[in-house]
Amino acid sequence: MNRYEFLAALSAKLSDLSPSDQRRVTDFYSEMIDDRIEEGLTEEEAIESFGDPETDAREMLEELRRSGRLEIKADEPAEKIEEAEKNGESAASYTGLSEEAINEAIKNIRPEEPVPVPSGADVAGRTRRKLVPALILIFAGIGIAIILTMLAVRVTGMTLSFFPWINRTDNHTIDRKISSLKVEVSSADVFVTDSGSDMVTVKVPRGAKSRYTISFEGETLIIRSSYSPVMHLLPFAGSGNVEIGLPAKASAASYVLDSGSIETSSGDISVSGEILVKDTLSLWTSSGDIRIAGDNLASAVSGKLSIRTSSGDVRLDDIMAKNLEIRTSSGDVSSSESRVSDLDISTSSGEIDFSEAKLASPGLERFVIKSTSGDVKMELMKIPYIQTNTISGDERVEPSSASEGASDRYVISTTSGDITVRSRK
Amino acid sequence: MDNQMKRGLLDVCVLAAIRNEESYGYQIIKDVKPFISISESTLYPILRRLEDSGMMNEHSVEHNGRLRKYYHITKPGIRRLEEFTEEWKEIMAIYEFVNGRMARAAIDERVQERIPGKEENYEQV
Repeated sequence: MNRYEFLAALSAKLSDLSPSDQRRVTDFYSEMIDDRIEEGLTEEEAIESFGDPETDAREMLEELRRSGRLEIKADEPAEKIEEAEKNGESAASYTGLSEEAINEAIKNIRPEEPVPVPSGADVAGRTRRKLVPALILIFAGIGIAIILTMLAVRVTGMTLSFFPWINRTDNHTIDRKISSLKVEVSSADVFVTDSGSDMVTVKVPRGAKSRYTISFEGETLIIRSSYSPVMHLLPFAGSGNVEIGLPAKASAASYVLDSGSIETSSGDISVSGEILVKDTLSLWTSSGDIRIAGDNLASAVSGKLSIRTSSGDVRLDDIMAKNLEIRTSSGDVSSSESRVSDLDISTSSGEIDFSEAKLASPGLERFVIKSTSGDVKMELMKIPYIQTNTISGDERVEPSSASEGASDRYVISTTSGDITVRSRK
Repeated sequence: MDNQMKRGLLDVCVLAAIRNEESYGYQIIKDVKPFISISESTLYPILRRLEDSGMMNEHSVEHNGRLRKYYHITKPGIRRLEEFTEEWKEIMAIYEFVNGRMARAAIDERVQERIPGKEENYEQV
């Protein structure tokens, strides 16, 4: 029996089914034949593996009938077949079909042309017809949502975070020794504080305007941000904060970090708590403010503390540093209660106010303060000999109590800024 | 096996065969055959039944220049499989109970057989 004879015999037995359902069954069997041929059987062998088409058709009809796929007909074909078999009639007669009907069925299944298989293009075309309106709807929906959101942001002026993937925070606890810290981010504010435990913790924004990565190089913890073009388009994605928790100092002898460098282009930098740095701590931002708030002189840099900002202000409270270097162009610099042995400050238009710094001259071994148009105010425990230079500014410097003569250890120079130095009463 | 039970099991086996990835008729038969007897004539009505009840859907994919129907499980189908595993936990518990009683009965019978034998022995003594 070949494929078409088998399918015709099967189809002939399925006359209780609608023509489209019959077609479905023959398609199903045809696929099964092809799959077997693909596995290495010949067509003949594939068909033999099915057994008798009449039995298959009868089983299927019974089962379809049982599951309500077919209405029960008064004359059960199964009974008819049995009856016919008893009478020893031919296959054609016990199906209740004439030879012509079987030939007709064969013709239906085996048309002149091979069974048309829709080409890939047809299938793709059908899918496209469904896909195109769906895509148009989706894009229209997204467009309307974006417009409404932008309007809402415009009107209320607030940072919205109703999208679950926007303006979130990723928390990391770093379970390894960190001796050095390197932060290079674009717009985020950076906060460094003590974590309250002996672990290093890092919080970086997720779904913000930039993407953040945390990596390690030896014992160096590196936090970087990269430009995220998609998120930059979203008006409600914020810049977010980077928060670094360093282990609180266990004793004055143990350093939390060997060195640290934090750079942000437009964000603020804030350092607070008990942070001990052995070598260098650099805090650089172009337009952000920088603030260090040690708690009761708890933060200390035993090497160099380097602070740079172009337009931001610098505020230092309760800090200790051997070498303090501050560069600003228009930002103000102010400090309270600081222990510094070597002070180097340059600003062009910013005001330098160390009047509350309680700088003690025995501890303060050297200072060089330069300003173009900004005023300089200092208050010292004991006034050393100070070399002051100004072109148009006023000088109000208390006379030195030191007996020694000229020295360039203490220098204040301005172009137009006033210089005020008082002794602390 | 009871026909009604077999029918239910076949449905579940076919759903399980397409649970993790969609599959086609011949592959389903090959996957299910080691566990329960299944042929084309059994599979076709099952596929129709599962599709009608929304437990799976089918789509045609071009394969070697012809169309092959792939069957894809839906959420109700996944739920049916979950129900099945839940139901069978109960059935397994019942099985343990029945089996335990059967084993006990078998032991009791053995003991009953022995005792009369022993009595005879005693009489002979």
